[in-house]
Amino acid sequence: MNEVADEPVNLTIALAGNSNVGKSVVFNELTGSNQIIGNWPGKTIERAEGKLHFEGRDITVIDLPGIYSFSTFSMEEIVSREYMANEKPDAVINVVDASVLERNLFFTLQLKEMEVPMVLCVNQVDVAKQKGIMIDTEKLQDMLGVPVVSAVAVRGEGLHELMEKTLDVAQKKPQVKVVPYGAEVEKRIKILTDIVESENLNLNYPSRWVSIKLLENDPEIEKMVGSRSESILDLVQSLAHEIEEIHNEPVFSVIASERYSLANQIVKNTQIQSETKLTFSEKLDMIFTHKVWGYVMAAIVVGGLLLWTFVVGSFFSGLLSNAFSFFQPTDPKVSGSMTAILWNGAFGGIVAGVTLVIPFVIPFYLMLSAIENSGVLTRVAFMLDSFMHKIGLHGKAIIPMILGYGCNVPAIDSTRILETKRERLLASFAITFTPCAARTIIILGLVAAFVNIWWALALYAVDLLVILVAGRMASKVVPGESTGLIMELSSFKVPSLTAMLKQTWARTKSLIYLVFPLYIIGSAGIQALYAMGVLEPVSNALAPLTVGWLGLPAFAGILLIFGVVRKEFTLLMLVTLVGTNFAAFLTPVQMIVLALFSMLFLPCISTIAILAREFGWKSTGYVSLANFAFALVIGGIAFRVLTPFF
Amino acid sequence: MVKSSNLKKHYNNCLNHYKYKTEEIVTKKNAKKHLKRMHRKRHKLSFFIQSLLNFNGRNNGSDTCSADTLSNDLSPCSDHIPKRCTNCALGCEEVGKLEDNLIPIIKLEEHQKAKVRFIKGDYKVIRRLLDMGITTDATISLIKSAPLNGPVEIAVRGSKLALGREIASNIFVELSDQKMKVKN
Repeated sequence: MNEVADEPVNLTIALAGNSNVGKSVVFNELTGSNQIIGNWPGKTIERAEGKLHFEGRDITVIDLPGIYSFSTFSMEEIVSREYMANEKPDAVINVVDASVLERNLFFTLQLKEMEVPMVLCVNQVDVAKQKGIMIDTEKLQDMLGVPVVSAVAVRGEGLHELMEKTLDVAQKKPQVKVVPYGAEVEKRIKILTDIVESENLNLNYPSRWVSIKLLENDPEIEKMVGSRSESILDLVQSLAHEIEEIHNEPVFSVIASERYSLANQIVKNTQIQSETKLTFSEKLDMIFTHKVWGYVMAAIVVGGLLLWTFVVGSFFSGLLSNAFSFFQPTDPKVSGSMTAILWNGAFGGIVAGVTLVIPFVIPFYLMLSAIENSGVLTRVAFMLDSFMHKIGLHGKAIIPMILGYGCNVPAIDSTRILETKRERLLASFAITFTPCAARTIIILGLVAAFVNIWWALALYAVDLLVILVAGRMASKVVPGESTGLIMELSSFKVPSLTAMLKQTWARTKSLIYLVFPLYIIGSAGIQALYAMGVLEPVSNALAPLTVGWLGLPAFAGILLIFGVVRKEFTLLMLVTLVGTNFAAFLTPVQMIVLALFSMLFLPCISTIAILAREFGWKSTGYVSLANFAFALVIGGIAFRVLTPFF
Repeated sequence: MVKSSNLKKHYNNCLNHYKYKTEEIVTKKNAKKHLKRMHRKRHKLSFFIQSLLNFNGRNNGSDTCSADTLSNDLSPCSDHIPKRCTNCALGCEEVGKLEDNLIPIIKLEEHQKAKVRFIKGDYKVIRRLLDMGITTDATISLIKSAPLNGPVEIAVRGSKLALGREIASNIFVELSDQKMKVKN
């Protein structure tokens, strides 16, 4: 609405670079609170967009996902390069980590090949200095042919200069200087570029980039070019073959090697490395990856995260539910008029969401983002890699699985960090067994409160065992390929509080959008069904299972049906049926079996929905069936084994 | 369609062939694993022969078998490599040149420096390794090897990477000091 400025030009700039270089910190510093976090159209890759007003101009800033290369091996890479080609930002800020310059420049060189107007932001120069690394930015600017600014984004240093140079580049759009490869490769790239140019293929990508990608055997570009001109592909074949003959290696490897040797040369000329003592980060690293202490630290991190969540969560949950019950009782209502029942159910859904999801999930996500951003979580993944192999996964899968302790739904969503579909399914399957905040409440409210805390902890131990056994079995039957662990261990750093808060808010928000509607509709619906008396016969039909096999009272069937909608509803329903003194109606064994069974037996509706979205109904069916089978076997055994003890 | 009993017979034939060809199958467990891998590969090959090549001969099973053994003989990831390719039934790739003096990363001692010379494994894995800076002329050093057959931590081009055991055992390096000795 600002039409006072004489030249109201809107500009778009994008932030690109490797993961963990402080891109998001730069983004937060630039855009402040004016941010929208959403997904790329049609894809579930996070897209952060912010606004910035600088020197009389409205600038839109896009934070691209962190990637190492412009190939096609992950959705992030495809999204990023399509963005560059199709939406043509006015300028790109390439954020690089000053202490890992060589690896970062590998990406910079590829960005230059995309021929976008760009500025290089050498970030975290303070950390680099501690490691004895000094970078001559002027020389770097000369060698790369793009403006270079050094910065310490967490403290906002250098960002004003960065924006000035970016604005300059965005307006002038200077020609990007070509970085030549070795003579044999360069000659063939030229030949191909000329042909691509003369064929007038009408591609959004620059011709030279297309030629390099064709030589690198890029499937997407091959398809794109092949549909327009078959003959080029034949030429690519023969040129690629020539290069392979000369270098005795596949072209993609030759090109990668040459890019890296260029990066290496630039680093040699612009970086001074002096010897330093071990930094604090390196000392920490030695503890976190130590053959004994590493496991201790991993246990402390995971256990501490959960303990923190329980303690902080139950405190706030108590406060909030007191506040809510002040307005309206939220116990499930099963008699009266239909509107009243539906309203009560829907209201109960909202209350459960507010009192349960928010107090447990926010502290959990907050602490998790601290663990994530500090670099601790990658060390835990490193230490637990060999355990994860037992269930057909690798170390990185520990990250979504820990997330599962908060809520299974975003945890399954985050399995996208794994490479193959098989791994994503295996991890999601394991996640359905991890006790989320809601299931934790059942365990705490039933077993810890009325039996004792040790039995509650024993349930967690049993659960870990179930994950191991079920995961192992699943890894034998789920088809597809698995990859190994390839993960960067970036140095430890103090996480930025704003970044943590933003990440927590983004995660909580997406959870609210995802879970709340189902909570509300689901709990209203099932409550209505119960009031209509539909559930009673079902519960009776379940009696052989609940009473005969599991040794539970007859009303347990209803509890479990409610538990499918929302796990903690099992407990709420129990309160409605028998009051708060469970001990009068359930024996300790029944409490343990009920908690155990409801922990394992079926994923809740929201989890089923996201499983179906990610893997289809067939896989979801198998997962649910496996959950049910495990719960039955273990519940039945527990009933029989535990009875003599009490 | 190839009858499964028919295929089974051919597995047995091939298994004997394998036994004769390689000494790798010593234990029963190993043989079982091998058979499973073969089973998958055969299945894909027979599908390829039947539907893609439009070949519907009666000896489909045995053709599959011989095609398989043939491809095994020619396969880049067979015999001459110190350890057989294990995780690359499909899209196996190798870069660099394998020589006798090379050792896999996992055999390095902590803080020992070496030059990468040869990588084999899944195509995607190799591409990812190259992107991360593990090219066939990169200098790396082993920082840490996690216990219990865990991953290794290496330093390459100023960054630190965690690599799964299997991937690390397929990256072969030349010791820097060894090369000096040769020069002298």
